[in-house]
Amino acid sequence: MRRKNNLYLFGMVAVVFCFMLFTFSSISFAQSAIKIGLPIAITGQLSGYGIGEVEAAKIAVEEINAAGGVLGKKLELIHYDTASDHRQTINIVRKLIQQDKVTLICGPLASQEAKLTFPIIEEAKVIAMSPSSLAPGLTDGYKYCFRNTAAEDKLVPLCVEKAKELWKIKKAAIFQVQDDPYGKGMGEEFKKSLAAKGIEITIILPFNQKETDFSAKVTRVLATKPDTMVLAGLYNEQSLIMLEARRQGYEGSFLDGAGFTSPKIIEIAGDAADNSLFISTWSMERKEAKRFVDAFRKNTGKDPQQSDANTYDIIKVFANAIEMANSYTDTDALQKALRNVKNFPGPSGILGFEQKSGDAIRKGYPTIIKGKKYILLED
Amino acid sequence: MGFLLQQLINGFMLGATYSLLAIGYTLVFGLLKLLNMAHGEVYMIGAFFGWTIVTMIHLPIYLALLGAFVIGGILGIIVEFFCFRLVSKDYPLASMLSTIGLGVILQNFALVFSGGEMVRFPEMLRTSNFYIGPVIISEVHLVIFGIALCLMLMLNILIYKTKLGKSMRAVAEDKNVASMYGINVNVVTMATFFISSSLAGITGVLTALAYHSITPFMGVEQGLKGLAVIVLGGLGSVSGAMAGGIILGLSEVIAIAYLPADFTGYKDAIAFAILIGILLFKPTGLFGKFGLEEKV
Repeated sequence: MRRKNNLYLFGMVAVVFCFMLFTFSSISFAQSAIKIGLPIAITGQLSGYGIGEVEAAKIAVEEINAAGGVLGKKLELIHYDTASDHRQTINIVRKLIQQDKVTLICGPLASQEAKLTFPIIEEAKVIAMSPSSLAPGLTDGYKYCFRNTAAEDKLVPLCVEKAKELWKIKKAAIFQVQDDPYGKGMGEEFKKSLAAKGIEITIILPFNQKETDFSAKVTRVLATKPDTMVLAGLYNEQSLIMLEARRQGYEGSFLDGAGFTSPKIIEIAGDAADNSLFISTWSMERKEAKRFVDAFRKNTGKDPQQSDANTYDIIKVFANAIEMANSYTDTDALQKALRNVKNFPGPSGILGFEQKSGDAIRKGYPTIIKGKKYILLED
Repeated sequence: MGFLLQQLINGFMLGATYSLLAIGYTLVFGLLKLLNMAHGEVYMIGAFFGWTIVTMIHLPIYLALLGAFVIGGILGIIVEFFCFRLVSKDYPLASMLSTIGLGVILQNFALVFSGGEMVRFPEMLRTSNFYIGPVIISEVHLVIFGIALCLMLMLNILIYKTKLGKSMRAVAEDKNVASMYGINVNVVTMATFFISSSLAGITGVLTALAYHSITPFMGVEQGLKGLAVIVLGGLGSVSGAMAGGIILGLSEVIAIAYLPADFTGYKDAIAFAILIGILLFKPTGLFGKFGLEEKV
C-alpha cells in the first residue's frame, strides 16, 4: 500500500512540475512583442476623448506592424479601460508596470489621471506620454513623463488675442470647474491672459463636474453682461452651459482650449456651440495629416480630433525612439532619443520636446465651432 | 427686479422636479413607513425609456411621456413585489436594503446601455421663448411646469375624491383596521407603488426635456434631494412634498444668485442648512404629523 501512495504523490508532483514548465515557457514566448500600455477611458465622462484615442493608437500599431514592426518585433497594445475613474487609473498603471511589465505607456488621458500617476511612472523609470493632458505645468521637472500636447499657458494668450481680434471683447465671464486640474488650470490661465490684455473679468463662478442645472448660474452671469464666456472645464458641463446660455438669450462667444476638442460637444450642444473659440494644435488640412485622416475616417466614420492625432503620433514617435536607442527597455536612452526629436513627420506636427519638462513643442491653430463643424481660421 | 424674478422662475422650475420626485417617496412612506430607495433609479430609467422611444422608435414626445409613466409604474410594481411583499414584515430594514440593491441593478443596466456617458436628449419642443418684461420663460419650461401642476392636481383629486384614494389614506393610517373594513391592502399597496413610480418615470422624461441630457447617474443626486424634501415637508405628507420641493429649489437658486461668486459652490450646504433649521423648529417637517408618539 505504501508504495502505491508514493507513486501517486510522485505522479501528482510531476504533473504540477510539467504544468509550471509549460506556463513559464509560454510567458517567454509572449515577450517577442514590444508591449505599449494604453490606460485610456472608453466609458464614462472622458470617453468622448478616449474612444478616438484608442482607435488612433490601433491604426498606428497596425501600420507599423504591417511595415515589419520595430527592431524586428511587433508592437502590441495592452489596453485597459479606466472608466474615467482616476482611482481605477492608478490601479491600471500599476498593473501595466508591475504585471504586464511595459516600458512604454501611451497615456494617461486626462490631466487629473496624469497628475496622480506620473510620480508612480517616473519612479519606475517607465516612459509615459499623454495625448490629452493639458493642465499647465504638468510635466515640469519630469524626465520620463511626456505629453504630446503644448502647454496651455502658451496657447491661452493666443486665444484671448484672437477673441479680441474677432469680436472686440471688452468684458468676459468665467465658469471655472473646481474638481478637475485641467479645467481649473485653464481658468487660472484665462484670468491671467484676460487681465494682461486689459479685458474686464465680470464674474468668476465655480462649478463641479456632474452638475446638471445651470439655470441660476447662467442667469447670474448674464446679468453682468459679458461679451464672452470662458468655459474652463470638460465637454459634458461645457455643453450644458452652452445650451442654457443660448436658451436665456446669450449671443456672445465661448472660449476654452482642448476641452472643446471632443465632438461630443457638438453632439450634445448642437447649434448652441456656435462661436466657440479655442487654439487647436491640430490641423486636418496639413498634407502630413492626410493619410491618418483617411484611415481614421475609414475606421470610425468620423473626423479625427486633436487628441486622436496626438495619440497616433505618440505610437509613431515611440517606435522611432526605440529604433534610435536600439532598445525598448533602456528607458534612459529612450527619453534621450525622444528629446532629440526635431520636426517629426506626422499628423500632429511635433516640432520637438522641451528639455526641462516633457511638453511637446507644437504650433497653434485658432479654431472655431460653427454650424456643428470645426472650422480652422486662417492665421 | 428682473433678475430676481428670473431667478424665482428658475427656482420654481427646479423645485417642481424635486417635488414630483418627493411625492413618490412620500406616498410609499406614508403607506409602509419605509423608503423605496430605488425611486431615483426608476426616475433615471424613465428618462432612458423616453429617450429610446424618441430616438430609436421615433415616436412623438407625448408618447415618450406616457411610455415613461407606464414603465415607471411597472417598475414600481416589481419593487413592491420583490422588495416588500416577498420580504417578511419582521425585517423592515431588509426591504429597504433590497430596494437599494434593485436600484443598483437598474443603474447597471443603464450604464451598459449608455456606456457611462451623457446621452443627448433631442429637442422635442419648439425652443421659443416668451418675454414678459425682463423675464424669459421658455416654452420647454412652461410645458414642464404645466405637466407638473397637472400631475399634482390629478394626484390630489385621486387621493381626496376617489374611493381608491380613500382606501390609500385608510391603509396609510392603520393597515390592520383598514383590512378589517374590507379594504384589500395588497391591491392598495400595489396601486400606491404604481402611482409613486410612474410619477418618477414621467419626471425623468421632463428633466431630460429641460436639460437635454441624461446619464445613468442622474437618479443618485436627485434621489438624495428627494429624501431631503420629504423630511422637510413632512414624512408621508403629499402637500409637504410639493411645498418642500419648491422651497428647496428656491433656496438653492437664491443661494446661487446672491452669495458672493466664490461661495456659490456652497449652494447645497445652504439649502440643507435651511432644511436642518426648519427641522429644529418643526421636527416632523412642515406639514408632517408622524412623530414617534403616533406608534403608541
